[in-house]
Amino acid sequence: MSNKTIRAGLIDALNQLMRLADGCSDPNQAFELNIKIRELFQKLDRVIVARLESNTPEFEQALVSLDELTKQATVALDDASKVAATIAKAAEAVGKIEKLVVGVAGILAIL
Amino acid sequence: MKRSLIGLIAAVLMAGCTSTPSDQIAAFGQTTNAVTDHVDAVLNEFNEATIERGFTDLAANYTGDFAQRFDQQLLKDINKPITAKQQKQLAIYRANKALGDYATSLAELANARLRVDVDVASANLYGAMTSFNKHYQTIKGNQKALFDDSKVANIQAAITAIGSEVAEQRRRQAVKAIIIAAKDNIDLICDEIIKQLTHSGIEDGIRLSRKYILDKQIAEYRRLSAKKSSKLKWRTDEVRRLWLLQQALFHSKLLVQQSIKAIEEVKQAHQVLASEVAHDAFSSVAISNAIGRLQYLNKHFNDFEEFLASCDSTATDSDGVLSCE
Repeated sequence: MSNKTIRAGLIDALNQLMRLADGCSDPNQAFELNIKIRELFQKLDRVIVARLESNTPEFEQALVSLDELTKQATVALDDASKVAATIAKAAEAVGKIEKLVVGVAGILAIL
Repeated sequence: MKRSLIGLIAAVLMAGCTSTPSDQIAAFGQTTNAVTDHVDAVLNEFNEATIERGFTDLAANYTGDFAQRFDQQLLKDINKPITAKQQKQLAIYRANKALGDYATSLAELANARLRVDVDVASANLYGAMTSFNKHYQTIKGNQKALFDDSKVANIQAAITAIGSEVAEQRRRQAVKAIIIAAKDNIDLICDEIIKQLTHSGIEDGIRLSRKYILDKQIAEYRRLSAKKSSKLKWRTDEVRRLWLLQQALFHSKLLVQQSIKAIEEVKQAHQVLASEVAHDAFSSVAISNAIGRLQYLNKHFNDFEEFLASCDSTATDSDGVLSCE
């Protein structure tokens, strides 16, 4: 169950970021957004095949970070000046999830 | 003479149309094994969709001013989320393999005509049951065995009783002992596969990768079709290709749901088999119906229209992804 929550958070964030990247008029920002999308996708791939421990501060921080990212991306859809902040939020979320999955990397992956 | 010839033809035709108990057990085993292949295919599709997403990502984003940033490290980062080694450690893979091994061995025993075939099938069944225990203990993380020693001993005794001459009656008794002993275990293994398919998130992985690919492909089509030099034939071919990609996106969830339904059918068919053979009914309408449903589902596995038609109702999410409710 615990994976489902992080997974849902990642899916929501990715959906919003993909919308944002599609409509982004600044090529450099669009490129940066696409890099963050790739990194979040890579985290999603890991989350799907790993069993995560949900009773940790890292888990809670990752959830909060993903929620903030989705909200930030939603705001940026209507306000291009918020795209840079969204990219920074995405980088933060990637880091939080990395902390979460780093411990399970290479461990027997039971779905 | 003419009458006896007609009688002979009728007898031959009837023999050809009648399914023997062994045929039905073998059909269950073979179809179940095919279903387990479909479950494996879902895992493979998750890998394939992820890899394809990686290719599309690099091809779509490293163009124009960013093309020079393309390097080997980017290619190196494209990986299958489930390696072949990891796959063998996954609970769903282990449970599915155990089910497939059992089904294959049961079909072998049902088809055995010579003592040597019985011996092979017997050894395989023993191996399948041992792996049942091993896989189940790994999945549950405890030492509780699915088949205890006395169950395995009973099954072995039933197979040994078939004797050197493979008489149908003795083979039936062996098959009966095996199916009844395995009933609860098959239920548990099927439940485990269904649980893993339901909660793993594989369908999310496949769906989102397919959506990403379609988004990028449409963006590229928009760019290229805006050129006056683009030809109608090329645009038509591209639109057809994009439509197929979109259909695949719409069907992402059904891929997993259909596997779940197929495993449910395997479980039900095995329950019917166990219930019928317990009363020494090796060939019955109930068995035919249960195996028939399983065979039909397997035959139409990739026919999503057919699958949707069998649903009580269908739902569509904001991306157009269909699901059977």
